[in-house]
Amino acid sequence: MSVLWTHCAPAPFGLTLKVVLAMMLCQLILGVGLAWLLSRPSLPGRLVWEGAISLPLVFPPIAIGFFLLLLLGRRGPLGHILHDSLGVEVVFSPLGVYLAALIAGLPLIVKPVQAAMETSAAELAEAAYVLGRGRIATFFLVVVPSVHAAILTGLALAIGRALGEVGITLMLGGNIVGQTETLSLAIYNRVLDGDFDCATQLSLLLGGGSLLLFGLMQWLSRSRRQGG
Amino acid sequence: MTSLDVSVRLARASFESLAELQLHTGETTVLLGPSGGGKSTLLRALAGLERPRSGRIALGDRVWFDSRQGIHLSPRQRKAGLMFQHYALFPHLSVAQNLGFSLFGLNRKFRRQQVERWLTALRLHDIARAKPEHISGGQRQRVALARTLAADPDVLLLDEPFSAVDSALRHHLRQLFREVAQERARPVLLVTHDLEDVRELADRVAVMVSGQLRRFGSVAEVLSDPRDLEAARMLGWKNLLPVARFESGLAHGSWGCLPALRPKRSGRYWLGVEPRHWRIVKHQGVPATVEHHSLFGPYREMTCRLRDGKRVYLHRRHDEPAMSIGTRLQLRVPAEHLVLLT
Repeated sequence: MSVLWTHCAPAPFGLTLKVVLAMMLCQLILGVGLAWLLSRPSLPGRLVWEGAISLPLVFPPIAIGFFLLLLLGRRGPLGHILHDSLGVEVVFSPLGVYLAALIAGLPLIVKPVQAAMETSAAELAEAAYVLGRGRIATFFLVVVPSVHAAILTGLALAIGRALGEVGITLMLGGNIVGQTETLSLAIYNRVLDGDFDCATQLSLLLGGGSLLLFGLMQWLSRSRRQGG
Repeated sequence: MTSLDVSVRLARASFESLAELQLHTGETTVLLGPSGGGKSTLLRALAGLERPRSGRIALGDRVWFDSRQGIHLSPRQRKAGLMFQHYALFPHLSVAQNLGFSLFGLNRKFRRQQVERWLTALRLHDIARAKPEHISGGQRQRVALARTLAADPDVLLLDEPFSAVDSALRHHLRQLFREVAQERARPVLLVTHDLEDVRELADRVAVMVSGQLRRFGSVAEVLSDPRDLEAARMLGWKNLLPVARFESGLAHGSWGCLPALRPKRSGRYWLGVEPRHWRIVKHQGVPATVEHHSLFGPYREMTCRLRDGKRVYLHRRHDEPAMSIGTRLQLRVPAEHLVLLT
Protein backbone atom coordinates (compact mmCIF):
# COMPACT_ATOMS: atom_id res chain seq x y z
CA MET A 1 0.00 0.00 0.00
CA SER A 2 2.70 2.47 1.04
CA VAL A 3 4.70 1.49 -2.04
CA LEU A 4 1.69 2.28 -4.14
CA TRP A 5 1.24 5.62 -2.31
CA THR A 6 4.83 6.74 -2.85
CA HIS A 7 4.63 5.60 -6.43
CA CYS A 8 1.29 7.15 -7.36
CA ALA A 9 0.24 10.03 -5.18
CA PRO A 10 2.80 12.50 -3.78
CA ALA A 11 3.10 15.14 -6.52
CA PRO A 12 -0.54 15.19 -7.70
CA PHE A 13 -1.74 15.01 -4.08
CA GLY A 14 0.47 17.92 -3.05
CA LEU A 15 -0.70 20.11 -5.94
CA THR A 16 -4.37 19.19 -5.39
CA LEU A 17 -4.08 19.98 -1.68
CA LYS A 18 -2.59 23.38 -2.52
CA VAL A 19 -5.39 24.01 -5.02
CA VAL A 20 -8.03 23.10 -2.41
CA LEU A 21 -6.51 25.37 0.23
CA ALA A 22 -6.08 28.24 -2.22
CA MET A 23 -9.63 27.78 -3.49
CA MET A 24 -11.08 27.85 0.03
CA LEU A 25 -9.64 31.31 0.43
CA CYS A 26 -10.18 32.62 -3.13
CA GLN A 27 -13.72 31.29 -3.57
CA LEU A 28 -14.68 32.59 -0.15
CA ILE A 29 -13.43 36.11 -0.81
CA LEU A 30 -14.20 36.37 -4.51
CA GLY A 31 -17.37 34.25 -4.51
CA VAL A 32 -19.04 35.99 -1.56
CA GLY A 33 -17.89 39.42 -2.75
CA LEU A 34 -19.23 38.85 -6.26
CA ALA A 35 -22.49 37.44 -4.90
CA TRP A 36 -22.96 40.60 -2.82
CA LEU A 37 -22.27 42.81 -5.83
CA LEU A 38 -24.59 40.82 -8.09
CA SER A 39 -27.37 40.84 -5.51
CA ARG A 40 -27.61 44.61 -5.90
CA PRO A 41 -30.18 45.44 -8.58
CA SER A 42 -28.44 48.76 -9.25
CA LEU A 43 -25.15 47.16 -10.39
CA PRO A 44 -24.37 48.40 -13.94
CA GLY A 45 -24.21 45.56 -16.49
CA ARG A 46 -25.51 43.09 -13.91
CA LEU A 47 -26.85 40.63 -16.50
CA VAL A 48 -23.54 40.57 -18.39
CA TRP A 49 -21.59 39.86 -15.19
CA GLU A 50 -24.04 37.14 -14.18
CA GLY A 51 -23.79 35.55 -17.63
CA ALA A 52 -19.99 35.59 -17.60
CA ILE A 53 -19.77 34.00 -14.15
CA SER A 54 -22.39 31.34 -14.98
CA LEU A 55 -20.72 30.40 -18.28
CA PRO A 56 -18.79 27.38 -16.89
CA LEU A 57 -22.12 25.83 -15.87
CA VAL A 58 -23.43 25.69 -19.43
CA PHE A 59 -20.36 25.85 -21.68
CA PRO A 60 -18.24 22.68 -22.19
CA PRO A 61 -15.18 22.93 -19.89
CA ILE A 62 -12.79 21.81 -22.61
CA ALA A 63 -14.04 24.61 -24.88
CA ILE A 64 -13.71 27.18 -22.11
CA GLY A 65 -10.20 25.89 -21.49
CA PHE A 66 -9.39 26.25 -25.18
CA PHE A 67 -10.61 29.86 -25.33
CA LEU A 68 -8.68 30.67 -22.17
CA LEU A 69 -5.61 29.08 -23.74
CA LEU A 70 -5.97 31.39 -26.73
CA LEU A 71 -6.50 34.38 -24.44
CA LEU A 72 -3.79 33.64 -21.89
CA GLY A 73 -1.21 31.84 -24.03
CA ARG A 74 2.13 33.58 -24.53
CA ARG A 75 0.90 34.94 -27.86
CA GLY A 76 -2.66 35.57 -26.66
CA PRO A 77 -3.90 39.14 -26.22
CA LEU A 78 -3.83 38.96 -22.40
CA GLY A 79 -1.10 36.33 -21.94
CA HIS A 80 1.34 38.35 -24.00
CA ILE A 81 0.83 41.42 -21.78
CA LEU A 82 1.16 39.35 -18.60
CA HIS A 83 4.31 37.70 -19.86
CA ASP A 84 6.04 40.76 -21.31
CA SER A 85 5.23 43.30 -18.62
CA LEU A 86 4.94 41.19 -15.45
CA GLY A 87 6.82 38.05 -16.38
CA VAL A 88 3.81 35.95 -15.39
CA GLU A 89 3.27 32.68 -17.22
CA VAL A 90 -0.28 31.41 -16.77
CA VAL A 91 -0.53 28.65 -19.36
CA PHE A 92 1.18 25.29 -18.64
CA SER A 93 2.11 26.40 -15.14
CA PRO A 94 0.60 25.72 -11.69
CA LEU A 95 -1.00 29.17 -11.94
CA GLY A 96 -3.08 27.83 -14.85
CA VAL A 97 -4.28 24.98 -12.61
CA TYR A 98 -5.36 27.41 -9.87
CA LEU A 99 -7.12 29.63 -12.43
CA ALA A 100 -8.95 26.62 -13.90
CA ALA A 101 -10.19 25.58 -10.46
CA LEU A 102 -11.30 29.12 -9.71
CA ILE A 103 -13.23 29.60 -12.96
CA ALA A 104 -14.89 26.19 -12.77
CA GLY A 105 -15.99 26.57 -9.13
CA LEU A 106 -16.94 30.23 -9.03
CA PRO A 107 -20.56 29.96 -10.29
CA LEU A 108 -21.24 27.19 -7.78
CA ILE A 109 -20.60 29.51 -4.86
CA VAL A 110 -21.80 32.77 -6.41
CA LYS A 111 -25.25 31.50 -7.45
CA PRO A 112 -26.53 30.08 -4.11
CA VAL A 113 -25.01 32.89 -2.08
CA GLN A 114 -26.46 35.53 -4.41
CA ALA A 115 -29.90 33.90 -4.19
CA ALA A 116 -29.73 33.80 -0.38
CA MET A 117 -28.63 37.42 -0.25
CA GLU A 118 -31.43 38.51 -2.56
CA THR A 119 -34.13 36.72 -0.59
CA SER A 120 -33.20 36.99 3.06
CA ALA A 121 -30.28 39.37 3.47
CA ALA A 122 -31.60 42.44 1.63
CA GLU A 123 -34.12 43.46 4.29
CA LEU A 124 -31.70 42.57 7.10
CA ALA A 125 -29.08 44.82 5.53
CA GLU A 126 -31.63 47.64 5.34
CA ALA A 127 -32.47 47.09 9.01
CA ALA A 128 -28.77 47.38 9.84
CA TYR A 129 -28.44 50.63 7.85
CA VAL A 130 -31.45 52.10 9.64
CA LEU A 131 -29.90 51.06 12.97
CA GLY A 132 -26.87 53.15 12.10
CA ARG A 133 -24.40 50.71 10.57
CA GLY A 134 -22.36 51.43 7.45
CA ARG A 135 -22.05 49.19 4.41
CA ILE A 136 -18.86 47.36 5.46
CA ALA A 137 -20.04 46.67 9.01
CA THR A 138 -23.40 45.53 7.66
CA PHE A 139 -21.73 43.16 5.21
CA PHE A 140 -19.61 41.44 7.87
CA LEU A 141 -21.98 41.66 10.85
CA VAL A 142 -25.29 40.93 9.14
CA VAL A 143 -25.11 39.81 5.51
CA VAL A 144 -22.39 37.16 5.77
CA PRO A 145 -23.65 35.54 9.01
CA SER A 146 -27.23 35.47 7.74
CA VAL A 147 -26.26 33.55 4.58
CA HIS A 148 -23.57 31.36 6.16
CA ALA A 149 -25.38 28.13 5.26
CA ALA A 150 -25.44 29.10 1.58
CA ILE A 151 -21.76 30.11 1.75
CA LEU A 152 -20.70 26.77 3.22
CA THR A 153 -22.80 24.79 0.75
CA GLY A 154 -21.50 26.84 -2.17
CA LEU A 155 -17.93 26.49 -0.95
CA ALA A 156 -18.28 22.71 -0.68
CA LEU A 157 -19.67 22.52 -4.22
CA ALA A 158 -17.01 24.86 -5.63
CA ILE A 159 -14.15 22.94 -4.06
CA GLY A 160 -15.70 19.64 -5.05
CA ARG A 161 -15.84 20.96 -8.62
CA ALA A 162 -12.21 22.13 -8.38
CA LEU A 163 -11.14 18.67 -7.19
CA GLY A 164 -12.80 16.98 -10.15
CA GLU A 165 -11.86 19.60 -12.76
CA VAL A 166 -10.20 18.13 -15.88
CA GLY A 167 -11.23 20.03 -19.04
CA ILE A 168 -10.07 23.56 -18.25
CA THR A 169 -7.11 22.27 -16.19
CA LEU A 170 -5.94 20.14 -19.10
CA MET A 171 -5.93 23.14 -21.44
CA LEU A 172 -4.49 25.74 -19.05
CA GLY A 173 -2.21 23.51 -16.97
CA GLY A 174 -1.07 21.28 -19.77
CA ASN A 175 -1.06 18.03 -17.76
CA ILE A 176 2.70 18.10 -17.14
CA VAL A 177 3.61 15.19 -14.85
CA GLY A 178 5.21 16.40 -11.64
CA GLN A 179 4.27 20.04 -12.32
CA THR A 180 0.66 20.58 -13.29
CA GLU A 181 -0.74 17.11 -12.76
CA THR A 182 -3.68 17.19 -10.31
CA LEU A 183 -5.23 14.06 -8.80
CA SER A 184 -7.99 14.04 -11.44
CA LEU A 185 -5.46 14.27 -14.25
CA ALA A 186 -3.27 11.67 -12.55
CA ILE A 187 -6.18 9.18 -12.61
CA TYR A 188 -6.66 9.88 -16.31
CA ASN A 189 -2.91 9.44 -16.98
CA ARG A 190 -2.68 6.18 -14.97
CA VAL A 191 -5.61 4.71 -16.87
CA LEU A 192 -3.92 5.62 -20.17
CA ASP A 193 -0.75 3.92 -18.87
CA GLY A 194 -2.77 0.83 -17.91
CA ASP A 195 -1.82 1.27 -14.23
CA PHE A 196 -5.22 0.39 -12.78
CA ASP A 197 -3.94 -0.14 -9.22
CA CYS A 198 -2.72 3.43 -9.08
CA ALA A 199 -5.88 4.74 -10.76
CA THR A 200 -8.03 2.89 -8.18
CA GLN A 201 -6.03 4.24 -5.26
CA LEU A 202 -6.12 7.80 -6.57
CA SER A 203 -9.85 7.57 -7.31
CA LEU A 204 -10.54 6.37 -3.78
CA LEU A 205 -8.37 9.14 -2.38
CA LEU A 206 -10.10 11.82 -4.47
CA GLY A 207 -13.60 10.51 -3.85
CA GLY A 208 -13.00 10.08 -0.12
CA GLY A 209 -11.51 13.56 0.14
CA SER A 210 -14.49 15.09 -1.67
CA LEU A 211 -17.00 13.29 0.57
CA LEU A 212 -15.06 14.27 3.69
CA LEU A 213 -15.01 17.90 2.63
CA PHE A 214 -18.71 17.95 1.80
CA GLY A 215 -19.55 16.27 5.12
CA LEU A 216 -17.43 18.80 7.00
CA MET A 217 -19.18 21.74 5.34
CA GLN A 218 -22.61 20.26 6.03
CA TRP A 219 -21.72 19.68 9.67
CA LEU A 220 -20.39 23.21 10.02
CA SER A 221 -23.51 24.63 8.41
CA ARG A 222 -25.82 22.63 10.71
CA SER A 223 -23.91 23.26 13.90
CA ARG A 224 -23.87 27.01 13.20
CA ARG A 225 -27.59 26.99 12.49
CA GLN A 226 -28.35 25.13 15.73
CA GLY A 227 -25.86 26.76 18.02
CA GLY A 228 -25.94 30.13 16.63
CA MET B 1 -41.17 72.04 18.83
CA THR B 2 -39.52 70.00 16.08
CA SER B 3 -41.60 68.51 13.33
CA LEU B 4 -40.86 66.30 10.37
CA ASP B 5 -42.00 68.11 7.25
CA VAL B 6 -42.61 65.89 4.28
CA SER B 7 -43.47 66.89 0.76
CA VAL B 8 -42.38 64.23 -1.71
CA ARG B 9 -43.19 62.62 -5.02
CA LEU B 10 -42.31 58.93 -5.12
CA ALA B 11 -41.99 56.74 -8.21
CA ARG B 12 -43.80 53.40 -8.05
CA ALA B 13 -44.18 50.69 -10.66
CA SER B 14 -47.87 51.37 -11.25
CA PHE B 15 -48.37 54.96 -10.12
CA GLU B 16 -46.65 58.03 -8.83
CA SER B 17 -47.11 58.70 -5.17
CA LEU B 18 -47.59 62.14 -3.66
CA ALA B 19 -47.36 62.88 0.01
CA GLU B 20 -47.44 66.12 1.92
CA LEU B 21 -47.67 65.93 5.68
CA GLN B 22 -46.25 67.29 8.87
CA LEU B 23 -45.44 65.02 11.81
CA HIS B 24 -45.24 66.83 15.13
CA THR B 25 -43.10 65.92 18.11
CA GLY B 26 -44.96 63.82 20.64
CA GLU B 27 -47.79 63.17 18.22
CA THR B 28 -48.65 59.88 16.60
CA THR B 29 -49.82 60.11 13.02
CA VAL B 30 -51.51 56.97 11.77
CA LEU B 31 -51.23 56.36 8.04
CA LEU B 32 -54.13 54.27 6.84
CA GLY B 33 -54.70 52.81 3.40
CA PRO B 34 -55.26 49.66 1.37
CA SER B 35 -52.38 47.29 0.52
CA GLY B 36 -50.21 48.43 -2.35
CA GLY B 37 -51.29 52.03 -1.86
CA GLY B 38 -47.78 53.40 -1.29
CA LYS B 39 -47.70 53.53 2.53
CA SER B 40 -44.62 51.37 3.00
CA THR B 41 -42.85 53.17 0.14
CA LEU B 42 -43.38 56.45 1.97
CA LEU B 43 -41.96 54.95 5.18
CA ARG B 44 -38.92 53.65 3.28
CA ALA B 45 -38.39 57.06 1.70
CA LEU B 46 -38.53 58.73 5.11
CA ALA B 47 -36.02 56.23 6.51
CA GLY B 48 -33.67 56.92 3.58
CA LEU B 49 -34.01 53.49 1.97
CA GLU B 50 -35.67 54.88 -1.16
CA ARG B 51 -34.96 58.07 -3.00
CA PRO B 52 -38.04 60.15 -3.80
CA ARG B 53 -38.36 61.47 -7.34
CA SER B 54 -38.60 65.01 -6.02
CA GLY B 55 -39.54 67.05 -2.97
CA ARG B 56 -38.19 67.80 0.47
CA ILE B 57 -37.99 66.06 3.86
CA ALA B 58 -36.73 67.98 6.87
CA LEU B 59 -36.68 67.38 10.60
CA GLY B 60 -36.80 70.88 12.05
CA ASP B 61 -34.06 72.78 10.27
CA ARG B 62 -32.16 69.60 9.40
CA VAL B 63 -32.75 68.69 5.75
CA TRP B 64 -32.84 64.94 5.07
CA PHE B 65 -33.77 65.15 1.43
CA ASP B 66 -34.04 68.01 -1.02
CA SER B 67 -34.18 67.24 -4.72
CA ARG B 68 -33.40 70.86 -5.68
CA GLN B 69 -30.30 71.08 -3.52
CA GLY B 70 -29.26 67.48 -4.28
CA ILE B 71 -29.40 66.47 -0.60
CA HIS B 72 -30.13 62.82 0.23
CA LEU B 73 -28.95 61.71 3.66
CA SER B 74 -28.22 58.02 4.20
CA PRO B 75 -30.35 56.06 6.72
CA ARG B 76 -27.61 56.23 9.37
CA GLN B 77 -27.34 60.01 9.01
CA ARG B 78 -31.10 60.45 9.47
CA LYS B 79 -31.42 58.49 12.71
CA ALA B 80 -34.98 57.47 11.89
CA GLY B 81 -36.18 54.31 13.62
CA LEU B 82 -38.00 52.06 11.18
CA MET B 83 -39.76 48.96 12.47
CA PHE B 84 -40.16 46.64 9.51
CA GLN B 85 -43.44 44.89 8.77
CA HIS B 86 -41.71 41.48 8.80
CA TYR B 87 -39.51 42.55 11.74
CA ALA B 88 -36.12 41.96 10.00
CA LEU B 89 -34.60 40.55 13.19
CA PHE B 90 -31.03 39.34 12.76
CA PRO B 91 -31.37 35.54 12.83
CA HIS B 92 -27.82 34.85 14.01
CA LEU B 93 -28.10 37.16 17.04
CA SER B 94 -29.95 36.58 20.30
CA VAL B 95 -32.83 38.82 21.36
CA ALA B 96 -30.50 40.82 23.66
CA GLN B 97 -27.90 41.13 20.88
CA ASN B 98 -30.58 42.34 18.48
CA LEU B 99 -31.54 45.02 20.99
CA GLY B 100 -27.93 46.09 21.46
CA PHE B 101 -27.14 46.15 17.73
CA SER B 102 -27.57 49.90 17.35
CA LEU B 103 -25.64 50.75 20.53
CA PHE B 104 -22.16 50.22 19.09
CA GLY B 105 -19.48 52.70 20.07
CA LEU B 106 -21.03 53.28 23.48
CA ASN B 107 -19.41 52.02 26.65
CA ARG B 108 -20.22 48.48 27.64
CA LYS B 109 -21.93 49.34 30.92
CA PHE B 110 -24.29 51.84 29.27
CA ARG B 111 -25.05 49.35 26.50
CA ARG B 112 -25.93 46.66 29.00
CA GLN B 113 -28.14 49.08 30.93
CA GLN B 114 -30.00 50.08 27.78
CA VAL B 115 -30.54 46.48 26.71
CA GLU B 116 -31.78 45.63 30.23
CA ARG B 117 -34.12 48.60 30.16
CA TRP B 118 -35.82 47.56 26.92
CA LEU B 119 -35.87 43.88 27.86
CA THR B 120 -37.77 44.90 30.98
CA ALA B 121 -40.02 47.46 29.25
CA LEU B 122 -41.22 44.95 26.68
CA ARG B 123 -41.16 41.93 28.99
CA LEU B 124 -38.49 40.10 27.05
CA HIS B 125 -36.25 38.90 29.89
CA ASP B 126 -37.26 35.26 29.57
CA ILE B 127 -36.19 35.10 25.96
CA ALA B 128 -33.15 37.41 26.11
CA ARG B 129 -30.78 34.63 25.04
CA ALA B 130 -33.08 33.00 22.47
CA LYS B 131 -32.61 33.32 18.72
CA PRO B 132 -35.48 34.91 16.75
CA GLU B 133 -36.39 31.60 15.08
CA HIS B 134 -37.12 30.08 18.49
CA ILE B 135 -39.62 32.69 19.69
CA SER B 136 -43.28 33.30 18.80
CA GLY B 137 -44.63 35.85 16.31
CA GLY B 138 -45.83 38.15 19.08
CA GLN B 139 -42.46 37.98 20.82
CA ARG B 140 -40.69 38.80 17.56
CA GLN B 141 -42.89 41.81 17.16
CA ARG B 142 -42.01 43.01 20.67
CA VAL B 143 -38.30 42.44 20.00
CA ALA B 144 -38.54 44.46 16.77
CA LEU B 145 -40.28 47.29 18.61
CA ALA B 146 -37.73 47.18 21.44
CA ARG B 147 -34.84 47.19 18.97
CA THR B 148 -36.26 50.23 17.20
CA LEU B 149 -36.81 52.09 20.46
CA ALA B 150 -33.41 51.11 21.92
CA ALA B 151 -31.72 52.96 19.05
CA ASP B 152 -33.24 56.19 20.43
CA PRO B 153 -34.32 57.46 17.01
CA ASP B 154 -35.29 61.05 16.28
CA VAL B 155 -38.41 59.88 14.43
CA LEU B 156 -40.32 56.61 14.83
CA LEU B 157 -41.62 54.90 11.69
CA LEU B 158 -43.65 51.76 12.28
CA ASP B 159 -44.93 49.48 9.54
CA GLU B 160 -47.98 47.58 10.85
CA PRO B 161 -46.41 47.01 14.26
CA PHE B 162 -49.33 45.15 15.86
CA SER B 163 -50.58 43.08 12.96
CA ALA B 164 -49.35 39.60 13.90
CA VAL B 165 -50.46 39.35 17.52
CA ASP B 166 -53.67 38.29 19.21
CA SER B 167 -56.10 40.97 20.36
CA ALA B 168 -55.17 40.82 24.07
CA LEU B 169 -51.47 41.25 23.35
CA ARG B 170 -52.27 43.90 20.73
CA HIS B 171 -54.09 45.92 23.36
CA HIS B 172 -51.16 45.57 25.75
CA LEU B 173 -48.64 46.52 23.05
CA ARG B 174 -50.66 49.60 22.09
CA GLN B 175 -50.76 50.70 25.71
CA LEU B 176 -47.03 50.14 26.04
CA PHE B 177 -46.35 51.95 22.82
CA ARG B 178 -48.46 54.94 23.89
CA GLU B 179 -46.48 55.23 27.12
CA VAL B 180 -43.17 55.00 25.31
CA ALA B 181 -44.23 57.46 22.59
CA GLN B 182 -45.33 60.00 25.23
CA GLU B 183 -42.13 59.55 27.22
CA ARG B 184 -39.87 59.84 24.18
CA ALA B 185 -41.66 62.81 22.62
CA ARG B 186 -40.71 62.06 19.03
CA PRO B 187 -42.75 62.38 15.85
CA VAL B 188 -44.30 58.99 15.14
CA LEU B 189 -45.71 57.69 11.86
CA LEU B 190 -47.53 54.38 12.16
CA VAL B 191 -48.77 52.51 9.10
CA THR B 192 -51.75 50.24 9.61
CA HIS B 193 -54.89 48.63 8.21
CA ASP B 194 -56.45 48.44 11.64
CA LEU B 195 -59.00 51.08 12.69
CA GLU B 196 -58.34 50.19 16.33
CA ASP B 197 -54.84 51.63 15.92
CA VAL B 198 -56.44 54.88 14.77
CA ARG B 199 -58.88 54.98 17.68
CA GLU B 200 -56.37 54.01 20.37
CA LEU B 201 -53.17 55.67 19.23
CA ALA B 202 -53.65 58.41 16.67
CA ASP B 203 -53.42 62.11 17.26
CA ARG B 204 -53.62 62.65 13.53
CA VAL B 205 -54.75 60.47 10.66
CA ALA B 206 -53.54 60.34 7.08
CA VAL B 207 -55.37 58.23 4.50
CA MET B 208 -53.41 57.15 1.43
CA VAL B 209 -55.07 55.51 -1.56
CA SER B 210 -53.26 54.64 -4.83
CA GLY B 211 -50.31 56.75 -3.80
CA GLN B 212 -52.35 59.86 -3.10
CA LEU B 213 -52.82 61.34 0.34
CA ARG B 214 -56.61 61.68 0.32
CA ARG B 215 -57.08 63.07 3.80
CA PHE B 216 -54.86 64.34 6.59
CA GLY B 217 -55.95 65.95 9.84
CA SER B 218 -56.78 65.43 13.50
CA VAL B 219 -58.52 62.18 14.44
CA ALA B 220 -61.83 63.84 15.35
CA GLU B 221 -61.82 65.90 12.15
CA VAL B 222 -61.00 63.03 9.79
CA LEU B 223 -63.18 60.39 11.45
CA SER B 224 -66.27 62.61 11.46
CA ASP B 225 -65.72 64.12 8.00
CA PRO B 226 -63.59 61.95 5.70
CA ARG B 227 -64.54 64.12 2.64
CA ASP B 228 -63.26 61.45 0.25
CA LEU B 229 -65.12 58.23 -0.61
CA GLU B 230 -62.04 55.98 -0.45
CA ALA B 231 -60.93 57.64 2.77
CA ALA B 232 -64.39 57.04 4.22
CA ARG B 233 -64.23 53.35 3.25
CA MET B 234 -60.80 53.02 4.89
CA LEU B 235 -62.14 54.71 8.01
CA GLY B 236 -64.89 52.14 8.31
CA TRP B 237 -67.86 54.11 6.94
CA LYS B 238 -70.40 51.54 5.85
CA ASN B 239 -73.37 53.75 4.88
CA LEU B 240 -72.31 55.26 1.57
CA LEU B 241 -75.08 56.32 -0.84
CA PRO B 242 -74.31 57.52 -4.38
CA VAL B 243 -76.05 60.75 -5.37
CA ALA B 244 -77.55 60.95 -8.87
CA ARG B 245 -78.65 64.62 -8.63
CA PHE B 246 -79.33 67.48 -6.23
CA GLU B 247 -82.76 69.06 -6.63
CA SER B 248 -84.99 71.22 -4.44
CA GLY B 249 -82.79 70.84 -1.37
CA LEU B 250 -82.71 67.06 -1.73
CA ALA B 251 -80.04 64.57 -2.79
CA HIS B 252 -81.62 61.93 -5.01
CA GLY B 253 -80.43 58.44 -5.77
CA SER B 254 -81.84 55.06 -6.76
CA TRP B 255 -82.22 54.41 -3.00
CA GLY B 256 -84.56 57.44 -2.45
CA CYS B 257 -83.81 60.99 -1.31
CA LEU B 258 -82.44 62.81 1.71
CA PRO B 259 -82.30 66.53 2.48
CA ALA B 260 -78.95 67.95 1.31
CA LEU B 261 -77.87 71.22 -0.24
CA ARG B 262 -76.30 71.26 -3.71
CA PRO B 263 -72.51 71.58 -3.34
CA LYS B 264 -70.78 74.51 -5.02
CA ARG B 265 -68.64 72.34 -7.25
CA SER B 266 -70.17 69.90 -9.69
CA GLY B 267 -68.99 66.29 -9.84
CA ARG B 268 -69.84 62.86 -8.44
CA TYR B 269 -70.94 62.84 -4.83
CA TRP B 270 -71.84 60.29 -2.18
CA LEU B 271 -73.63 60.73 1.10
CA GLY B 272 -72.03 59.26 4.17
CA VAL B 273 -74.10 58.48 7.26
CA GLU B 274 -72.81 57.24 10.60
CA PRO B 275 -74.95 54.31 11.85
CA ARG B 276 -75.91 56.18 15.04
CA HIS B 277 -77.36 59.12 13.07
CA TRP B 278 -80.20 57.34 11.28
CA ARG B 279 -83.67 58.20 12.60
CA ILE B 280 -86.76 56.08 12.04
CA VAL B 281 -89.65 58.30 10.85
CA LYS B 282 -93.26 57.69 9.95
CA HIS B 283 -93.18 59.12 6.41
CA GLN B 284 -91.09 61.02 3.84
CA GLY B 285 -87.97 59.00 4.62
CA VAL B 286 -85.85 56.51 2.68
CA PRO B 287 -87.89 53.29 2.44
CA ALA B 288 -86.08 50.29 3.98
CA THR B 289 -86.74 46.74 5.17
CA VAL B 290 -85.17 45.23 8.31
CA GLU B 291 -82.96 42.32 7.28
CA HIS B 292 -80.74 41.38 10.19
CA HIS B 293 -79.80 42.21 13.80
CA SER B 294 -76.42 41.79 15.47
CA LEU B 295 -74.78 42.95 18.70
CA PHE B 296 -72.34 45.79 18.38
CA GLY B 297 -70.98 46.68 21.85
CA PRO B 298 -73.48 49.00 23.55
CA TYR B 299 -75.66 49.00 20.42
CA ARG B 300 -77.73 46.61 18.42
CA GLU B 301 -76.71 46.89 14.77
CA MET B 302 -79.67 46.65 12.42
CA THR B 303 -79.04 45.86 8.77
CA CYS B 304 -81.69 47.27 6.42
CA ARG B 305 -82.12 46.80 2.70
CA LEU B 306 -83.07 49.86 0.62
CA ARG B 307 -85.31 49.72 -2.42
CA ASP B 308 -82.38 49.52 -4.88
CA GLY B 309 -80.91 46.58 -2.97
CA LYS B 310 -78.19 48.54 -1.12
CA ARG B 311 -77.73 47.79 2.55
CA VAL B 312 -77.42 50.37 5.30
CA TYR B 313 -76.56 49.87 8.97
CA LEU B 314 -78.25 51.51 11.96
CA HIS B 315 -77.18 51.49 15.59
CA ARG B 316 -80.00 51.28 18.14
CA ARG B 317 -79.62 51.25 21.89
CA HIS B 318 -80.52 48.01 23.63
CA ASP B 319 -83.37 49.78 25.50
CA GLU B 320 -84.98 50.85 22.21
CA PRO B 321 -87.63 48.41 20.94
CA ALA B 322 -86.27 45.75 18.57
CA MET B 323 -87.83 45.58 15.13
CA SER B 324 -88.61 42.20 13.71
CA ILE B 325 -87.01 41.06 10.47
CA GLY B 326 -89.07 42.04 7.43
CA THR B 327 -90.49 45.21 9.05
CA ARG B 328 -90.82 48.05 6.56
CA LEU B 329 -89.73 51.44 7.80
CA GLN B 330 -88.70 54.94 6.70
CA LEU B 331 -85.26 56.35 7.52
CA ARG B 332 -84.02 59.92 7.73
CA VAL B 333 -80.84 61.68 8.78
CA PRO B 334 -80.78 65.18 10.25
CA ALA B 335 -79.11 67.44 7.67
CA GLU B 336 -76.28 68.36 10.06
CA HIS B 337 -75.24 64.70 10.27
CA LEU B 338 -75.11 64.05 6.52
CA VAL B 339 -71.53 63.98 5.25
CA LEU B 340 -70.84 64.80 1.64
CA LEU B 341 -68.06 62.77 0.01
CA THR B 342 -66.38 63.12 -3.37
